[in-house]
Amino acid sequence: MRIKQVSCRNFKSFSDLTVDLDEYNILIGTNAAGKTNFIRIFRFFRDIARHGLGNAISLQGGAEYIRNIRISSDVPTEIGIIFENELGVFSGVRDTRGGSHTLSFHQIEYRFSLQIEEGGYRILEDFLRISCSCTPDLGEGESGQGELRITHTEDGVFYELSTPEGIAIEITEIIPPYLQKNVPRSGTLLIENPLLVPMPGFQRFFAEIAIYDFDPRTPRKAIPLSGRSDLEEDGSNLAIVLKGILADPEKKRRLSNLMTELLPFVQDIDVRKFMDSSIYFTVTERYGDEHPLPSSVISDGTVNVINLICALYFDEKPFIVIEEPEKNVHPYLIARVVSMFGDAARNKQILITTHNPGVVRHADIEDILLISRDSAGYSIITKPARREEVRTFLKNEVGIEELYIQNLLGL
Amino acid sequence: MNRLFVFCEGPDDIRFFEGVLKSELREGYASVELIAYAGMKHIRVDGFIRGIGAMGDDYLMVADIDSDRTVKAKKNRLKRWYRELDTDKVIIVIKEIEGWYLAGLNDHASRSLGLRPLPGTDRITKERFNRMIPDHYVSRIDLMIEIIKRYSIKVAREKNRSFRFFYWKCLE
Ligand SMILES: Nc1ncnc2c1ncn2[C@@H]1O[C@H](COP(=O)(O)OP(=O)(O)O)[C@@H](O)[C@H]1O
Ligand SMILES: [Mg+2]
Repeated sequence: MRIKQVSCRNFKSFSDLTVDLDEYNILIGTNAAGKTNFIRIFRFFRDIARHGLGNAISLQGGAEYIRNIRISSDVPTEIGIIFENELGVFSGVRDTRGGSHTLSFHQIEYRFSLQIEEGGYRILEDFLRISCSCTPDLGEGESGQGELRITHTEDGVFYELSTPEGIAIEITEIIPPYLQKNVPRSGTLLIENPLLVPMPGFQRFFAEIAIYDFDPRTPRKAIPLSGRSDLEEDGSNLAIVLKGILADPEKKRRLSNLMTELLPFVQDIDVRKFMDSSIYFTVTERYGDEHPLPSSVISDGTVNVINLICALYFDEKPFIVIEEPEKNVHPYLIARVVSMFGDAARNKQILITTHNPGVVRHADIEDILLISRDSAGYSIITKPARREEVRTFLKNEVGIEELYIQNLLGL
Repeated sequence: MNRLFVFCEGPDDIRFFEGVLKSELREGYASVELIAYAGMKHIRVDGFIRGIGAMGDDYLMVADIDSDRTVKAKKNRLKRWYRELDTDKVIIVIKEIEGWYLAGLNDHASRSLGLRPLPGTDRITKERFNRMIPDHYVSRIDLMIEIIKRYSIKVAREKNRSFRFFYWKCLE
C-alpha cells in the first residue's frame, strides 16, 4: 500500500497543488507555510470515510474555510489522490465470447470536487478509477491493462469497464445489476458508501489514515480501561496501548530495545490499574533507586518519545502522518529519531512535518519536501533534490540545514 | 587522566561503539565520549579536533571505506576535508559498520536471531545487511540491538579484518 500522489485546487492555503510521495517523506517549512493544511487533505479523506462528508467539513472548520478565502467563490474545491493497494482479484470473469479471465485491481485514483455555497456545499464531481491487470486463464494470451471507472453524478452512479483490445467483458460480470441500482444519499460521496464500491480495501484505506500530533500532557492522566486500543491522535490513550504491547513478550522485547535507543536512562515501563477502572503507566529510571514513577511526573520528552515509538513500530496502519515529531526531543537525540523514521518506513509509508533545522540536518535530501508560499501567497510544495542550484550547493559542502536556515532550499 | 573522543558517522556507529566498544576503550581514559560527525560542517569538525588537542585529550575518527579503493585513499580524502586531522587516528571500517555488527556473532548466536552464519564479513554493506534481516524483525535497529546483546569481540576479530586491525591498534 502506498500513496503515490495527492492533489488539490482551491483548498485552504493551496491554489493548485500536485505532490508525489515516496515511502518516507519529510515535509519542512516555516510557520504558517501550510504544513498542517497539507495534512488536512489526508484528514479530510479520512473523516469523510469515517464520519461522512457533512461531518468532515465541520471538522475542517466549516464550509467557508475549506476553500481558499482569497479565491473567487465560484471556483470549485477539488481534491484527489492516487494510491497503490492490492484490492482484490476477480477470477473466472467471462468475456462475451466465453473466455475466462483474472482481473487484479491494484491502483486507485479518486477525486471529487465541491462547490462551496452560502451555508453549504454541492458535489460537482465524484470519480473513481481503479486500474487492473487482465490475464486470460487459459491459453497463451498476454496479460493487459484495464480499468473500472465509477462516476457519481446527480443522475446516479455509472460503472464502466475497459479491457485490453479484443476482449469484451460486461460490467455485470464484476458489478451485479442489483448493486448498480444503488443510489447514494444526496450530499454524500463514493468513499462513504461502501455498497457503491464493492472493494473492501477501498474505504478501509481512507478510514485507516493515521495522523498524530502528540501532546505530552494528556497521556499522563489515568484513563478509563475501556478506551480505544489504537493510539489516539494526541497520544492520550498511551497507557492502554502500552498495556497491549507489554502483554505480548515479543512486542515487549522490541519496545524495550527501541526505548534503549532513544532513552537509555529508562530501565522499565509498566502499566498500573487505578481504582479498578482506570489505568496509567509508570517509568523506572536508572538514576538511583528502583522506584517506578507514575506518568504524571515524567518528562515531556520521555512521553513524546514513547508515543513516537508506539506510532512508528506498533501501529498496524499502512500510512501514518506525524506532526512535529521532534517536539521536546533533545538535539542530541534528533539524529536517532530521524534514523528511526527511515527504519520504520521499511514497513509503512511515513509523512512527517517539521520546521526544525535539526531534523533537516540529519535527513537525506531525497526524502525532503519543501513547503513555502509563492509570490501570490499560495502554499506550494517542491522537491529540493530536483533543483540544480541546491545540488550545486550540496556538492560544495554547503549542508541542507544551512540552505534551509538561509531560506535557499527553494531556489 | 585524559578523555577519549570518538568521532562516529551516524546513529548506527554510535550505537555500536556505545554498546560494544565503549567499556573496552575506557581502559586508560577518564571517559569515552562519542561525537556524531556526519552532516557536521568540516570546519566544525576541525574545531573539535583543535579543542581536543588543546585539552590534552585523545581522539579517534571512525569512517567507512565507502567508494574508496584503499584505506590510504579514504584517509587522504578525510585529510582533504578535515585539515586538522591526524590520519593515524583514523579507523577505517570495511566495508560498512553493518559488517562489524555481524562479525561478532558466532554460529549459535546468528541462528538464534534467524541469520545465516557467515564465515567472514569483510564484504558486508548496508544493502546486504538489510536484505539479510529476517522477516519477523520489523526494525533493523531492534535487530542491531539484539546483535549487540550477543556480541563477542573475540569472534569479531576472526571474522572481520578491519575490526581485527582496529583491535590490534586500539585495544590490545
Ligand atoms: N481557508 C484558507 N484560505 C486561505 N488561507 C488559509 C486558509 N486556512 C488557513 N490558511 C492559511 O494557512 C496558514 C496556516 O497554515 P498551517 O498549515 O497551519 O501552517 P504550518 O505550516 O505552520 O503548519 C494561516 O496562517 C493562513 O495563512
Ligand atoms: Mg502546523
